[in-house]
Amino acid sequence: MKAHLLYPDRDFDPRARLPWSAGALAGDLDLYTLFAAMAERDAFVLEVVQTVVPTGMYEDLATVRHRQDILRDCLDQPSVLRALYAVAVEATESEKRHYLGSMRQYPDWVLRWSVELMADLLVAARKLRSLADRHAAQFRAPAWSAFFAMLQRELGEEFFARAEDHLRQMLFRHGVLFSASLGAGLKGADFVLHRSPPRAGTWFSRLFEPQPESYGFSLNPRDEAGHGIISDLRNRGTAIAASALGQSADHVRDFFAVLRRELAFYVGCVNLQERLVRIGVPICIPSAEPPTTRRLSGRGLYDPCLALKTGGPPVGNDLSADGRDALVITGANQGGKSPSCAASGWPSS
Amino acid sequence: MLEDRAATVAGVQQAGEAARTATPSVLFRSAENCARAERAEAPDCLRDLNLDQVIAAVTAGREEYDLARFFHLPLHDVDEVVFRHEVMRDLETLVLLDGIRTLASSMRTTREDLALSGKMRDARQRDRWFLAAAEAYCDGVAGLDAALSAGAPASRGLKAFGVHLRRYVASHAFAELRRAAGMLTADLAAIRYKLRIEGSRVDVFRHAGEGDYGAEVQADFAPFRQGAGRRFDFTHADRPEMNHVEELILDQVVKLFPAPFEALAAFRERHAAFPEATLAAFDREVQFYLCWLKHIRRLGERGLRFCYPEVSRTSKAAASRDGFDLALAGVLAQEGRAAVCNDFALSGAERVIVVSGPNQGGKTTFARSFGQLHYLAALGLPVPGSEARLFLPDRIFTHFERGEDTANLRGRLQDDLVRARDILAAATPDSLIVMNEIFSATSFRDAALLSRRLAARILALDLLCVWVTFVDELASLGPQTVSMVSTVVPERPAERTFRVVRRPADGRAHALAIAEKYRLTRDAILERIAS
Repeated sequence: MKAHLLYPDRDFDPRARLPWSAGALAGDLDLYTLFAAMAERDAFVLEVVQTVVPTGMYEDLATVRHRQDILRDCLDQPSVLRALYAVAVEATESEKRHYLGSMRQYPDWVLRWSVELMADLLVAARKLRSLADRHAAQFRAPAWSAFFAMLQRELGEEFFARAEDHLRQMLFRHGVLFSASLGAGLKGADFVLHRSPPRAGTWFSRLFEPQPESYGFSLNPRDEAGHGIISDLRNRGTAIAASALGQSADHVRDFFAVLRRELAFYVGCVNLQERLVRIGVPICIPSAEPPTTRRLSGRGLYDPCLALKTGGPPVGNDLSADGRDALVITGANQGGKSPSCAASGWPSS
Repeated sequence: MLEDRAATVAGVQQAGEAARTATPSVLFRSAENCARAERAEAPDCLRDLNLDQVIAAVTAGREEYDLARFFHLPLHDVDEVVFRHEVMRDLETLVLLDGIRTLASSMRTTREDLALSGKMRDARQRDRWFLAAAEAYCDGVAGLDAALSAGAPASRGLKAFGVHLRRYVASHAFAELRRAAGMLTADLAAIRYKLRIEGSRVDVFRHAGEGDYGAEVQADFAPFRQGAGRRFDFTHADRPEMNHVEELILDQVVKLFPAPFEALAAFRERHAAFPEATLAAFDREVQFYLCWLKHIRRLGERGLRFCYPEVSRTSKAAASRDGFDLALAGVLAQEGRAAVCNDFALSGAERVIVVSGPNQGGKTTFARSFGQLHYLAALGLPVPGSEARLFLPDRIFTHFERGEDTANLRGRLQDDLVRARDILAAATPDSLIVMNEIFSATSFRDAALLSRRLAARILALDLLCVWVTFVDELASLGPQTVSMVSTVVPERPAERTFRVVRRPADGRAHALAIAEKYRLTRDAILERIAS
């Protein structure tokens, strides 16, 4: 399951190195004002936009259009976007309630940790599924449709039924069932865990229906050493469960972590849009063209950071430089040359 | 742990002793030498020649074979030496070497498994380890047989052993052992049982093809997988011996699968004992070659060369090119340096090499290397150098200066004399003597007198001798003596080259060099006075 909300074909890599000019660019264009407005005191959103925005101008046209399409839906449905984001936050934060730390070498601790964490993650997954059911129709971008369709496909009732059954199994109410072969010196080896079968039928069927041949023993209640050994042996089985479910819990949490990072960018965009609307300046989604066409024109362009800092609408300028390679701005001092220059740099991110 | 090792060593030795009657041996042509090797004590000369260090380094990690004994028995027969050369040359063939290494590791497993088997309290575990030992043994033997067939050895030693091995592998006893071990191992490996643990109750079933639940869980959550993710790996403490609960579980498993366990219980009685004596002896003896080959290879990486010497019982015209002190080379190799090589050649009546020259210039090292070459040649091993022609002495005597020994209440000079007398009393014309700076505890005149007397006795015996001395007149006693001198760098007399070359000892070699450097030779001084 891949959200793929930032790139049409891959995950966003939060550890991607920023282009070498990112620092200078952020300073020149005063991006930090912009980042702060996008984050609205959400440190996680801040971290994401600081990476996504400076790398934006290096993305290809398909990626830019992919994001524009997704953003259009976000601007239409900000509350759904925020609800999706909230679910991802809840899921990723739930690990903090279940801290494993140095106990990860003990199978029974890992098992308990993964059962509890997985239960929380399944709650989040159900919420995600229900958001998909209620709102999928309101989203038009193909990326959103694919995303919601994926949730509806993978997070079906059958998945939840099986997942919850696994969590019940992991309690091992009917004992631990596993198989082994005879290893070196006849010691048990190659342990494989099996689903413990439900207590078959009634006492009647148990008595009269053919049962598989088996031999067994019970330890003397006073055999303390023996009980220790049995619990070690039991751990052989639970260790398999613990490593399977532990890794699965990690996978589910990672899915939400990726989703949260990708949604954070759009949450930042919606935050910014709402700020600018409150200030009273217009915004639009530019039509993106490949660099080879040399198309650069716009009406009422302004520097959003100036707007954010002054809290009022700055003067917009028109620009028409189609087919030109360079743009020269001259004129009187303090006449708005620099903001114009900055403004022309904006649309590309 | 120590006891274990001692037990293993004892096991290997017993096998070796049993093999004496059942030669072919790859080390000895005569059964008599075979027996002598087991009693051999380290000869006295080993310490003075630093060969004790070499042997310790060479045999390190193979303690279980007790190889030092083989190094303590030099051979006196040319054919015995050639016999070993042949085997050694065969072992330079990769396929043979690999086959023998495989056998060695199988035999080691066999011994370890047998030792474990002996320690098991539970009869079933004891039998299972015995079976494991049998399997490892059969694999190793079959592998060696294949390697010997493929490698086509040319040596008498390996050929004779190969014939024996072929016959053994074809024997009914071995074939039956191998077949039964393989079958029983497969039958036991096919057993898969199922455990249900509930509280203090354990039930054991046959496994009926139930699925892997861990894999099922992982598959159900696999769609969420984003990257590699962490892994949870748990370690479980375990001991080779079963505890009482495991024994109880095994009891139930036996009830479910009685047949293979009956076969297991009968396996030991039904089949021939192993390892077969000749094979066990071979496994041990061949290590003598393997450890030497490994050592040679290590020094070869430093550019040092080894050769098969031409040996003789009659010709005392000993010669060597690019020889070096093996002990020193081992130490230097660890520091990443190579030892200095030297040559010598005796011909005609020449018997005694008198080494003189500046101190710490490699004289003693040269003398040691002379002794080492002869000792190693008598072991039938490749020796240091690019070529060598060596005499097989009946004994090697060494007379090296020792610190004063307060126990025998003798002064150093007296001690020197007593030891020299003992050597002369025991030496024969076929012996070899290495003498290093004796009589240094007395005045030069006394030393010269004593040395002349000693030299007369040595020359009369007509034996091979290398004699490091500061009494350089010894070098010109007659046609039997050869003078060799340690040298320095001409421009820098204080710097030694560690090369020892054949040159008349004029007693001034070193002094002259220093005088020349400071322009204090007669000619230089006269020249300066004139001007």
